[in-house]
Amino acid sequence: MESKISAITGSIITATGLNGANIGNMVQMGPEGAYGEIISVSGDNTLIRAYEETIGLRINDIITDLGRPLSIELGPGLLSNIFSGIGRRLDMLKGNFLSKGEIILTLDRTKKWDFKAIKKKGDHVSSGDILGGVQETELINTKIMVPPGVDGEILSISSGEFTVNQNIAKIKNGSGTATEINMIQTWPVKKRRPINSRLEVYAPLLSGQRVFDAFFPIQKGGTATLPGGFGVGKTVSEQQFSKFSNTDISIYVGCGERGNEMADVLNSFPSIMDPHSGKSIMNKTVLIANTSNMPIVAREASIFMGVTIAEFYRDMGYSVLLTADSTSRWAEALRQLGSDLGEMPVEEGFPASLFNSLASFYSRAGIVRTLGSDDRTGSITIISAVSPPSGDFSEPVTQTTLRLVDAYWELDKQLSNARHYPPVNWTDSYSLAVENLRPFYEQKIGKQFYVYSKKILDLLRDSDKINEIASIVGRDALPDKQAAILRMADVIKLYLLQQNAFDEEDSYTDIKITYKMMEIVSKLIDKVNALLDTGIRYGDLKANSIWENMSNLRHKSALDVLEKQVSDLNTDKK
Amino acid sequence: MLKDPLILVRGVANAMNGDICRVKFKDQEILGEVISAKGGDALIEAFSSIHGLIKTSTRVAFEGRVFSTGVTEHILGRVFNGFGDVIDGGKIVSEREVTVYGNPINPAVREKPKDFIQTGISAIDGLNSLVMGQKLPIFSGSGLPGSDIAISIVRNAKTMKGNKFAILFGAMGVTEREANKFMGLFDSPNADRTALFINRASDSIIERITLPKVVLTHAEYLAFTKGYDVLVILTDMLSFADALRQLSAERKQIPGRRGYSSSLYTDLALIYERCGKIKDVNGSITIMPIVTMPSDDITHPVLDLTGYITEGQIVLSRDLFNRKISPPISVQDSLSRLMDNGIGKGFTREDHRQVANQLYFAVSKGIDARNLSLLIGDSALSDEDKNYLNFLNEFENRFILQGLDEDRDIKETLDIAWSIMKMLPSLPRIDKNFVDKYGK
Repeated sequence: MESKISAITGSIITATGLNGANIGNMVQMGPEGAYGEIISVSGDNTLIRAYEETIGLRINDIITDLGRPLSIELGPGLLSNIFSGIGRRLDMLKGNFLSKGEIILTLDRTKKWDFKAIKKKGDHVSSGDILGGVQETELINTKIMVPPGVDGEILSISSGEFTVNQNIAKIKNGSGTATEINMIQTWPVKKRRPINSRLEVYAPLLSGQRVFDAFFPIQKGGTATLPGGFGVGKTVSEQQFSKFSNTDISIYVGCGERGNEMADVLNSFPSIMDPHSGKSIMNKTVLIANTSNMPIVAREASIFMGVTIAEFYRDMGYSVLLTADSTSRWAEALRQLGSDLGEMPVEEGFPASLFNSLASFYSRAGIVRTLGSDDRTGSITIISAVSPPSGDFSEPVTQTTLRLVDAYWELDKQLSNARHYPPVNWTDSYSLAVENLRPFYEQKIGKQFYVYSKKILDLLRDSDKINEIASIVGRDALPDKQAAILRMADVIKLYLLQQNAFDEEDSYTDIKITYKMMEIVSKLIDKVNALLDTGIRYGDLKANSIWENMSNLRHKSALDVLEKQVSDLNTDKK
Repeated sequence: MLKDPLILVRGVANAMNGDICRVKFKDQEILGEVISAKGGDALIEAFSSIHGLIKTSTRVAFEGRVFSTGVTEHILGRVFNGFGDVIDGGKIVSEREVTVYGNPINPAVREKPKDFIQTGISAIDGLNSLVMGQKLPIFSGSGLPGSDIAISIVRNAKTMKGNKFAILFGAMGVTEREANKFMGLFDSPNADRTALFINRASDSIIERITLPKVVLTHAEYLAFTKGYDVLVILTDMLSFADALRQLSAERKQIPGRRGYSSSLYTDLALIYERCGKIKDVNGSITIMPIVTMPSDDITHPVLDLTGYITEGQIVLSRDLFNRKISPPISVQDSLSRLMDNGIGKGFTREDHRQVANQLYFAVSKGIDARNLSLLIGDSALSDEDKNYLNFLNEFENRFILQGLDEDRDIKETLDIAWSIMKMLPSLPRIDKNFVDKYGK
């Protein structure tokens, strides 16, 4: 029986005649072939949510069941490219505007890749084993793996130039059935890719952003969220992670955000060099763009598309960072769909399933032992931006996210108004991984790392309290020690915490340099306190050139001189 | 079924979502649109009031097309309603019909906004510059001169690039008084490059919701087919959102924050995101929406969501307004995120960025000093603070303050900045060679 549209309400379509359809399958509707997904079946009625605009669809328009859920093609050709929320390769679409029903092709079928086999005929392989690889970009060798569910003896395998859809190997399983293997693995985005086991290993994700690396670090495989109202600099902070983190692969999902922002990413990323390899970061980057005016259902798809690609590279044994900007837009899409479906809303109109929906995303982060017999580990770290309405952090998406992530990096409106970037609030932010990472920092970076970071944070928190008093009585009326604390807090804020994302030297700081900066600041704190303890007045220190010299903290090459200046600090030396 | 403005029609064959239909009753005819369909039923939203219709004798004809508007370059200098019908008494011949919903620009072909648009207002041009392809809203309060600023921009806006330039002005839910003011635009220097689309407060809400889509459909045609740089000014987006809220209440949708539909973010994004530039295409769309802040509340959902979508905001201040500093643009609260793409050598003047940085810095020092003086009195201020406070007063009276008709060119704006910066003891944020060149 032919299946047809029987009702249209917003993005929800009712179909008849789709009997026996699987929930989650994709469909195409109407003469233009607009995409949608089956969300419920009851009797003869099937509910579909459209991924695309439903204006122009008619009652009795034909619906075709594509027989598979929303899936992504995984294989060589993802890196350094940009895809839509449902996997269309955007730079290969014709025309300047997106239109309905265009054929979804993620991987280029014309490009030939140089496949180098590492297994040979007669080898026994199982799911996840690496058959060989192609050099996808200058930095990344993309492994061609035995797909999940396939194992047996290699009947044939050949190195050479192949397109993604040409067969490169044939594997015979125990019962004698042979499977042809090409370089594409098509995978449903909502389904996790299988792993061997989850691991508990702590190594920091370092981004060269001092405030995060030094005070609120997360581990590779961890999760963190950056909530902030509009205009505080969420996107810039998040992009800094995407550009500079010490992971092999970086996936950036622009979910329900600005088109001009994606244009900026496309424009600026190619010329940014990865500090770890010296090559363009596009070599390790996959971009997914679902701008706010693109179909709303595809917003959810874009997030899961991103995490599925992340799992694919993780399975090869790479560390992957996924940054999503912003998960609030995805949650709003869930709310809008819930409303179209007439679901009972709970807090602020969000569906009761919000926690589970967000959890199904964040729980795909982690560090794992992958499938395959060579004992590989891979990781996915997730950093998400959240856009709370009116900058109010008590709203459901922020609060639900907090129950799921390892670190909370609160972006503060007052700091950003004062042009303090990145505007990370040092009182409310936290990372649950700080203690787990302690051995790494103390052994690999510097013995005193945690001593310094505690000293600096303590001083900042003291200065906040003193500032409240100072705003009433004026700085000049403060006791010596308090006045000195404010002065030192200014130094920390200006030269250690603030970091200019648009300045070539300042944009990225190696963790060892950050340690050195913290060391100098800690010495300054100790020195000033010691001088005040000997009865020297703050007034005598006030005009000392050390305060001006501290601005050199930002310059790597000046640090040794500065360190000496701090230890030589004396009142009679101007 | 009839329930203003909804009409349920039975026995429709193959109803189309979004189909335009003509509802005929006696000698009356009104337009409507199919908003949902089920089996042989079609639910129609009428574009104007259906009072007076009788169930039995009303007939509906379906046109089999979605809402469209006729595009042509000849719209410039003319006046239209929110449906795109010309209302200045004349006729207009269009080149072709285009559906008003628009398709999203492929993010991969977008080009970064660049080039400067001069508004003639120092506080905008000097410190929060408008860039071609940007969306930069003005947040106004009730009684604050948001629409006067809009008018002044329409009168004086100029591009430096020398390309064809058009201004499309969309007014939604405006009073008769405002409507008359807007009609006065046609004696301005920009009159023959301006088209006005007007929906009065008493007109239908469907027209109000349709208006920005019609305006942007024309803008897309002019920009991406005919190569114009187009500036679109939309006032007041609060009226647009309120019309959507009314519609969603009529449709019995579950209300979200302050009763607005949970799709408000998407609804606004579908308007604002139609701005931009496209690679290898001459022309651009820049959008400047005016949004009223109810009780000066910038956290109101319409303002908040607008702020999340747009690239900065110009915020008007009641304090400045009360002190007769007009246009009352708060430098502290305003921000143009794309400013750097449109200023400096080749666009405005080489010293622009540094002058702006110096002004921000000095103004924020001045504001600190003013706050401190409220607590401890003027006389207790340090000399440095007194100096910054004096600077702030001078800044407000000479840089911000200007007549609504006064059209300052960017050089003049920067020169005023230099002349008041003479009050500052030093200019640490400006290179010495600029000080020598412009600071004399």
